[in-house]
Amino acid sequence: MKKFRKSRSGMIGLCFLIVEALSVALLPAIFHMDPVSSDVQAGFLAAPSAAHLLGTDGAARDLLARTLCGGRVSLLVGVAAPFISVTLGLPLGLAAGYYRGPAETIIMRACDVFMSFPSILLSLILVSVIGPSLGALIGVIGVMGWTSVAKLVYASVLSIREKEYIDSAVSIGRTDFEILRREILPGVSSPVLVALSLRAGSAILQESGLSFLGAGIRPPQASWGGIIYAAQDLSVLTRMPWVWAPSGILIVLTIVAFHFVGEGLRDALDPKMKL
Amino acid sequence: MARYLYERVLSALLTMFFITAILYVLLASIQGSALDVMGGSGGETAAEYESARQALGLDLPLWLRYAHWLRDVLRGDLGMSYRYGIPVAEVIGQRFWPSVLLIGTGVSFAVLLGVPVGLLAAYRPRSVWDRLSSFFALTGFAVPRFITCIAFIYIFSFKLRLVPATGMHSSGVVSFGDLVSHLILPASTITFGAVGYLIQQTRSACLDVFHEDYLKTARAKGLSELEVVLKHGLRTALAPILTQLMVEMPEIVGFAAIAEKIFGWPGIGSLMIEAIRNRDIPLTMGVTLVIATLVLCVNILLDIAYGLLDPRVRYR
Repeated sequence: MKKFRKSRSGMIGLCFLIVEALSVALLPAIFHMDPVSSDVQAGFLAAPSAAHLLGTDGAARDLLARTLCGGRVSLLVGVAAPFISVTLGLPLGLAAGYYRGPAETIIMRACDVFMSFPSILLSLILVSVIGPSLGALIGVIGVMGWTSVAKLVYASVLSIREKEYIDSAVSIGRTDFEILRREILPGVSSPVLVALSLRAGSAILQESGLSFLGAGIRPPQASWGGIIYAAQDLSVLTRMPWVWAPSGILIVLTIVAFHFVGEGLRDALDPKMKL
Repeated sequence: MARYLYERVLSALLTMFFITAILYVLLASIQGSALDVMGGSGGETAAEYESARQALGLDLPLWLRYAHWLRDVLRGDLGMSYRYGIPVAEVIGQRFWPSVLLIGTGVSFAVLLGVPVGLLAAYRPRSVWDRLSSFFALTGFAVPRFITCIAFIYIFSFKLRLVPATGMHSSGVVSFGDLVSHLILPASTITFGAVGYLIQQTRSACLDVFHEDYLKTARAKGLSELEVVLKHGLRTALAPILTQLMVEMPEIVGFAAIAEKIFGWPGIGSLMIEAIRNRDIPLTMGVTLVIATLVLCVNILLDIAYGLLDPRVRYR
């Protein structure tokens, strides 16, 4: 962790994420902001003013409150979905890399099938099957991410299993499970840790994309992608940038921050790691 | 090479079978069938509803419906769109070429831009090109595609008034210049989205190659620096770049779907988004088949190129 502190961009990313997480968690409660009720007096799609610092949306709801609450959704998806990807991808990647043979064929072929179709369209169908909700989003994005984790783990295991200490573990009669847990798992833990933070960025990317297509978080609940959805109306897009610009900028900054943390972690753990 | 290609085509067909089977099952399990989305006058009886269901074949068991679909596809029949009431092939036919044009243009420019920039970045580390390459690599995956589209419309179409924002033709105008002016913006968002990965991959592939001894040999032979870099360096580096393009292809198609939707470009991606929303199973399956075929064909073509570039693959 000492090495991570030396990475300037990694620390900036981490600080940004902490400040962001605290703001979206606490600010709405402290200032009694209301993301769902309409302030008709302020007007629909009103420009930023003292009462509504970021203006109002198409249903006269306060955009500052909605942006903050939308941040909760994005951060939650960004943190939770990668854990699902790892829960699925880690054992499958381990099995494919360690046992080889039919397990390898089936698992890696399944990876190829998943990766040969646009994930956004597949996620769109999956979310429609389950019905749009926060849980469904996290689940679908998490499940869709299994391929990249499995491929990563698979590649690391392939190189580890050729090492001599694996041969020696086999020769003293360790069971497969023990070898996997005690010899191989520690070797794949750093790439997985890095993958967790890199996947976080792409999970947020997908969440915002799905919400933008109207398949994610449904109004009145707020999400960044959902807020930007309003920009599909050309007059909102061209004349009212205050509606979509803050959420758009926050999405990009958050993804960049997660990426910097991931790179900082990678440099601290193993600079030669290829991800 | 022939055996290698044969294996590739076989595995591509297998992949297609699985994709279509998975999607068929998923689509069939979406709550609310096409009938509910289309809605009726509201006065239908249960019997009428049931006969409409039977007419669409929705009462049959799932595996049988997929088997029927597969049988019809093999006969060249994609079925009728629930929504439009005309053959799926006809709907897709109208939307296919615009997509190919859009994706083809976007990807071509990404390659034309990404490979030279990545090469320069690798050739002169820490130069302007190197910084440019890390900037584009970062924007490539940190900026969601729909934000790129919106930002491009805002900047280039609204603020600078350079090109029209939406559609494929101005109303009543059919000319090549008009088509190009409508194509620029959506195609450049695709280029913007794909170029980052390409630059990054080109850079790291070239960095690997530039350290090889045979480049020193080539220089020692007295070849000019340009010949060394292009003939010996880039040629070897092209193989991993092609691999990257293959891996990215499905995501580029997915991005194109979003771009098509935002720019009102009449392609198959936006058609698919629409079809999913309408629970139009035959149409969604048709588009799925076309997209999967497109992706796998591009991959097989890139595979052939790979073989031409790297003799080791050819004789395996």
